[in-house]
Amino acid sequence: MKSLSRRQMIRSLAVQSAVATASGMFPGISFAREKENLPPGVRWQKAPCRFCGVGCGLQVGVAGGRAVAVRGDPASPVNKGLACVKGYHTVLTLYGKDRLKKALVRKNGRLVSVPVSEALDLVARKMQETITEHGKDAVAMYGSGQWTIPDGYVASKFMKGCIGTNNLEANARLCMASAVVGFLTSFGMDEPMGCYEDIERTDTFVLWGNNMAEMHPVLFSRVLDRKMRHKKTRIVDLTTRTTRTSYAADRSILFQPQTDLALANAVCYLLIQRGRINQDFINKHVSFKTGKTGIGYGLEDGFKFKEKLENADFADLKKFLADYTPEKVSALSGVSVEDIHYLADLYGDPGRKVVSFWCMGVNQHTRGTWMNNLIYNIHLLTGKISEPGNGPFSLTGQPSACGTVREVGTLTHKLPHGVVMKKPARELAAKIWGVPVERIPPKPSAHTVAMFRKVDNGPIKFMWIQVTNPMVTMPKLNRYRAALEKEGRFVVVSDIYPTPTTDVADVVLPSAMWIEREGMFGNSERRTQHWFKMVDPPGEAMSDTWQIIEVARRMGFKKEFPWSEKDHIRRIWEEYSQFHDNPKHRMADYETLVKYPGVQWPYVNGAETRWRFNGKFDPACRDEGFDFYGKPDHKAWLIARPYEPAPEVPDKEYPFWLNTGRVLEHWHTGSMTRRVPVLHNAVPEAYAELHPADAADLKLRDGDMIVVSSRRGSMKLKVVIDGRGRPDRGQVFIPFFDEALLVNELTLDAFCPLSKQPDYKKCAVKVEKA
Amino acid sequence: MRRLTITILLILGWPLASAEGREIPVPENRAEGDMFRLLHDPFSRLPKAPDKKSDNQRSLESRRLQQAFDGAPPKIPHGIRRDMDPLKRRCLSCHMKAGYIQTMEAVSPASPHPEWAHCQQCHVPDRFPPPDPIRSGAGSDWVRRPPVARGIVIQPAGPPVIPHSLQMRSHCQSCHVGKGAVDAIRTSHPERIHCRQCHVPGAADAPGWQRGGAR
Repeated sequence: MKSLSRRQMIRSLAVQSAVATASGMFPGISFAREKENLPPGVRWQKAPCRFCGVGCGLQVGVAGGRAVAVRGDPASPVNKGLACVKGYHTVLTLYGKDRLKKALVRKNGRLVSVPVSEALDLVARKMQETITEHGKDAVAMYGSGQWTIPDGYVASKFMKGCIGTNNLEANARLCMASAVVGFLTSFGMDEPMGCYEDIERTDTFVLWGNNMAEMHPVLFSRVLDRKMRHKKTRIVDLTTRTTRTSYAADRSILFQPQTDLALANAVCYLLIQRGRINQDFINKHVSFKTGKTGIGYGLEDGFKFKEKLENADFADLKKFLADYTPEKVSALSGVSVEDIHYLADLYGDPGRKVVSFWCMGVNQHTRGTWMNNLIYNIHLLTGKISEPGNGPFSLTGQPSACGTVREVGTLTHKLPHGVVMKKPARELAAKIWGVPVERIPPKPSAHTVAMFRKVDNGPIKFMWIQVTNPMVTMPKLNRYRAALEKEGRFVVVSDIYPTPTTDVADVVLPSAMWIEREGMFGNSERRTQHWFKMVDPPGEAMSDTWQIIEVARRMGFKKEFPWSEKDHIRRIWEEYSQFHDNPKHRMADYETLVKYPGVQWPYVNGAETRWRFNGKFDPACRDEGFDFYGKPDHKAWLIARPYEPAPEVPDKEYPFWLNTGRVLEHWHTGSMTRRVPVLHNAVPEAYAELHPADAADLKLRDGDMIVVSSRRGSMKLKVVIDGRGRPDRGQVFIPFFDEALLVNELTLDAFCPLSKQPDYKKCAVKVEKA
Repeated sequence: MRRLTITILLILGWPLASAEGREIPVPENRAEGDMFRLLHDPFSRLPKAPDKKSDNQRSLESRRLQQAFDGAPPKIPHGIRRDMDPLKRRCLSCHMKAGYIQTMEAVSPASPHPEWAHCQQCHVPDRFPPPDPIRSGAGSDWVRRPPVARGIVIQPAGPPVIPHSLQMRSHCQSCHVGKGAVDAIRTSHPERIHCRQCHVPGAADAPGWQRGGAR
């Protein structure tokens, strides 16, 4: 852009405005000549927000080759013009001072700059050497729910179809795996049946361990808006920590960690006992099952678990629930009998629509799959599901955990359609990818925790990490950092800024982020959102998609990745869509994605499907009624799941529960948001929250330094009393965004045996004055 | 009058009217319905025009310092009570209407969108001095665009066009009328409340990308 004096600028802006207005006033007159002389103004284009799983539609203003502003996209049905403080400042994340612009390669212990092409040569050579020496399963790729859909798709094709290993995982394992397995066990199909429009159609919000005000702020504003306009609305906050969400709730119910399992069963008990179930719906649409119990916690290396579901009936469920009377559950959970009745009454009231929301509280849980199943059980018993305003709704953490990880299937057991264990799924993949079917291994190899354990123990020698920061986010971090630093391990990290993960890398590849390349994300409500490249990436930064393609081609897979840099995103979308070419999962075509702020799948005959499994809305159903077609018997499965305790509970030596999480201002590990001044200023460092009574017992005052220790690690930080939140007595809360204060050095790597998702919300710690 | 109120409430609402269908819904224009809000808000009245000499300490420049770009949510420039209770609309006890706040020794500006209850979803506190960068070399290279030109008129003595986007800022009185208004942008005729009868959106509000693919 030519530099303009202030006077010129004002003058030309004046002309610009005058022209714009005058053109409207005198439609017949041409003002074209004046327009040509104008300086380039701000050009607004659409993109989904870079951050959370809500998937707000944004408009990004670009001028002079730089992103200069953001506004909520009024045309997006997700946020209707609103955004949150992270969303408004997304564009600032592009312009951190220490943006990675060149590749770095470790030489004599130090990372030194090299041209990207040289680094890509090295990555390809090292990967090939590792495969030759140690076999295909010695290389692994660890991606992200912040990968764009094309990133994940080429990663899957490269690892599973070209190299022939199932060593492909993504950090969504740490955030959404329990939701996935919950959906698959109960319905046979992943992702919510409802949509955000349920918010404006319901009377009741039950939030299971979900601080929506901070984690899904725009959706929460929709919830509050509903409450202000619809007097009947009730918000119930089930939680272990009093948060912003609690203050907006009609009732905030505190329960002891892990006892949400018992609480959900107590609700089912009361619904049946008081005849508040929908018998007709149950008879037609529900099958009863039981699963294995006493299933362990995955703490030992090589842990294996295989679920086996048995048929049951309604009488079995009643018998099973006899253990969950309100009185018994009250004693266990600390929730009053009255509150349990209140909750069951809301769910059971036939004149009331109910939506349940949950996210990490339920998913990051050693019985996360069970908790998902139990919430479905409540909705199945009452028949409040798959219709406007009624339904269980699993919220997602990351912008494309659904779109990339769950739909493309960048997990060890998954393919873009179906699982690797199924021959037809492998055959379909081999056909679309143009690779021999034998190349795709029929057995899953390692989920995320197991993968890092394999790096530690030796079988995995090479790991390529993209768009994620595991050296802040892995539980029991000290073990897994030491693993990556071990001799004979080669770690490649693609990122946009230096992080604790790039600190341990052998090669760092500079990535193009978000609007520096074309891409798509898929949000929590099955909405695929496309954006175009708007600005050039800095230096030699390259999109993650293209990095993978470059390495794959260097390893000889030219035929599999034939696309040009100009149109590869479109070509990838067209190839990927073939996997979902059926009415249960059909994706919108590229042109439609370009035209709208986001399009929900299944997209059938030019229409989105808002409520799945309901014949009124879902063309895949057999008739006008409900049809849970994900299961062979066309029914939803109600699986009895008991309460089982957490693996590590507070004791005399470690008397506190430790809970970890996020804050509104920071996204995950803060590598982006902590480089945005307004966000960094607002919450500059991690802290520990304590209940005021616990603080008084320990003679601690607000702002004192404390040491929090678990059996795995220890950290020194400031205590905050009655700040953003208040944990219940006997609990500590520490956010995980701060790379200088790594709470995951304290957490436990126990996981849900079904979903393999670790529990970041519960382990035992002690607190001492520093 | 009552009918008008109902109409405005309807326009304000989320698109309750969008059919339970499979089509992609078209949201209504929330901004348009917003402009007369204070007139019908039972808890508020149109703020009176201030005395000639205002006690306002804010200026356009100081206002700009609170934002990363024109249209970004401004930071909270003062200390706030611990945010245990953000949703009880505490912010609005000072920011629903503009006025002199004794404890702050300052004039509070009125919020142009008080219907959104969770203020700290977008407005976050500032900190002095700012914290250190998270690692050496980290920081921001953000470049802010020069301020938009004001006072653009289409013809001599004509009404100036609106130089900013109307999104979240469609309620003119909040910023242009009364004690909370910054001197430089206070209207000379606060008794005229149908602002957009004469002042039309300028280039800053030009729609960019539009659904359906139109550009």
